[in-house]
Amino acid sequence: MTATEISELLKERFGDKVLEVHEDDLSAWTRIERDVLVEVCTFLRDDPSADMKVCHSLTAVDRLEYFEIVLHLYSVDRKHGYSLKTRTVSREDVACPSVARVWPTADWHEREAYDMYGVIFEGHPNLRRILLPSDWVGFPLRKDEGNPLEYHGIPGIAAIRTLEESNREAQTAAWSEKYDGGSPLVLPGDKKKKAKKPAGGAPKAPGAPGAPKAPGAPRAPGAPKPPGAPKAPTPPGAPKPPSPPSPPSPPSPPSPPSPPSPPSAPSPPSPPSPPKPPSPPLPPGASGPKKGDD
Amino acid sequence: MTGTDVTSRVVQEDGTLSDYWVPARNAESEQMVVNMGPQHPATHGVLRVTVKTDGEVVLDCEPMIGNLHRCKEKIAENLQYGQFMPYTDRLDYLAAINNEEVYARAVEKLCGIEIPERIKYIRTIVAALGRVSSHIFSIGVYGLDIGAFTPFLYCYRERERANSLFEKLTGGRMLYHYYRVGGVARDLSDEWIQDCLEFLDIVEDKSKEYNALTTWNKVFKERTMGIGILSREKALAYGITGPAIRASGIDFDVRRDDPYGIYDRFDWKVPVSRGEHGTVGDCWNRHWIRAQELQESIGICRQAIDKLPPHDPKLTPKSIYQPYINPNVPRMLRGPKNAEVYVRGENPRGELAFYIVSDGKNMPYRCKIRGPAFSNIQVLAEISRGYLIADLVAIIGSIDIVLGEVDR
Repeated sequence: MTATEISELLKERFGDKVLEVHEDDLSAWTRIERDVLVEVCTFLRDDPSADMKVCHSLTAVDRLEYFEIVLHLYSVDRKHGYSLKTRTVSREDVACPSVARVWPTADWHEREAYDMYGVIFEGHPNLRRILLPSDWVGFPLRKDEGNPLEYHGIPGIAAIRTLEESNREAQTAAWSEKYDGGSPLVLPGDKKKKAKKPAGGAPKAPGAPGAPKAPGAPRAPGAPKPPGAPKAPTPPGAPKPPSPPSPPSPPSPPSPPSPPSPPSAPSPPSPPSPPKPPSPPLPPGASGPKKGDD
Repeated sequence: MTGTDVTSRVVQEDGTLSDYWVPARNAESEQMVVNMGPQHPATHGVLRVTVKTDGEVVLDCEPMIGNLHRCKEKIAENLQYGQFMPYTDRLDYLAAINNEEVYARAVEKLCGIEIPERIKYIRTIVAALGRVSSHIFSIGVYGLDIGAFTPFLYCYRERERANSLFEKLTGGRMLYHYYRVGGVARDLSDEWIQDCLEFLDIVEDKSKEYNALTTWNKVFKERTMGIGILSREKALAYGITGPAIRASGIDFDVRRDDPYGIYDRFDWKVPVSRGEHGTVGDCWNRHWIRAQELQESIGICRQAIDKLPPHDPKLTPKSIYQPYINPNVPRMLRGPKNAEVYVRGENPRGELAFYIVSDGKNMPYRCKIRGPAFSNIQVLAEISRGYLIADLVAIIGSIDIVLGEVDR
């Protein structure tokens, strides 16, 4: 059957309950009265010439004043398809009869339409949310639905964006600390700051081997620890006590100029302290990653 | 409910279980609710099935979906038509190229875009190849579900080759973004075609191994024959599509019966289960349809390569960054006002359909994705009642779902 024949059949059978017939190259559908949806569907399924045994898809569309329910039906034996439409009364009165008893496959499709649009399918055996969690608030595919702020402590996209804005500056500072000089990621202003620091803070021991700038740089094996220095690592975020610079002994490298510290913590300008006072002693030759410039 | 009731129901529906299921005639039994998943290896991703059991027997079950929901339809409403193409890859991520084809066809129908002849053939070749690649994987994974590890390794050997073939063409091994509205990303090279033909020869040769390991294997047959029988009426009522509906004896394939593309130019047939082996609509038949479709797709792919028209100089892209498309496609695609299309296509797992409503802007007003696995997994409770829990795993595997498409 062609689409015209099907719409004629519906008009003949249901008369003025057929509200609108549309047919063009792209689509063919009939809009029917909401109350007779189940009757029309049962008729289309059981009528031998229509034979719409398959409900291919059922969905809703937000038309701003009302919700439109669209059914795509198909006949496997006769190889023709047709679309049925109906609409709810308004955005507030969102009831629509359920066709889950006509085609069992409409069960989940209607649950999905309820989940996304909040259309209440009257007579549905089990109208619950299907894709979203059961305690979700709102119907996300409605056109007036905004982004959720949070869900059980998981921030929504709006909250994430605000957080990113506030973190950007701190992140930039952290990156410039990590890639000290020579990295294209470092902003020019940060480079200058870093260049000043070692000059004023930690004087380099002349002729000292090793990498002075490696984070977690080795201490001298026999370097006397300051008496007041804490044994445990300082908690992050707490201001670190200034430790005296290590005595310049020939095999020992100087203490690192400025370790990467959390951006929020105010780091003491001079003299710089190692991040973990009881760092494992290493032989001076085998000091970690080399980024040194001498 | 006592064990007596349960077992009698098992035996009544079909006599197949009675030979190894020893009913506890007079034993009082206790019902229990068991959760399978979402991390269960046999649930193909993040499916959770709530199973009401009585001992080993499934009384009822309900698939709980939504763990992989990624708001695809909302994303589609906020992206231009062409920009949504890579998102369709993530629907059925095991046959990504077939999803792209349906979406591209939907947008082309909406915007009235013609496809050049050579591109039609290229699309047919890659879609058939996508089906081959997907079915190889499905067959192997089904063996894994049943408890045979070897078929998976054998099948993945060829799946890797398919991945490499796609990588050579599209740059992606799993998610391709190869289709464009009005064409494809780039033309096929002669070298690639040679590789493809070689791959098809290998698969045709190795598919005998797959069938020996799974289809005709005695243990495999005993695990799957007569299990999870989906009748013709139920299949229609539940909107089942794809290999599952053909396994239930319904001779239907969108490529032939609601024709699109150029499938009418090739010599191929739709495999339908007629009950030669096992019961029509059981797990084994669903698997067997897939194994046969693998052969058919190889044939379609070969014929399309044979008939591939020569390159049209009008289609030559201006630079390597330009896709290989119909040059008349506008830079900004706009759908007509108050128009809608419903376009469906045959995917390895069933019929994928896109319902696009346009309001004249460059983005869809509404884009509904009708995933085949979403409808197919719905029937699970209907066909698994009365079987054992181990059979439930076999039934889930035979429906062959991909959760990316169920949850969208």
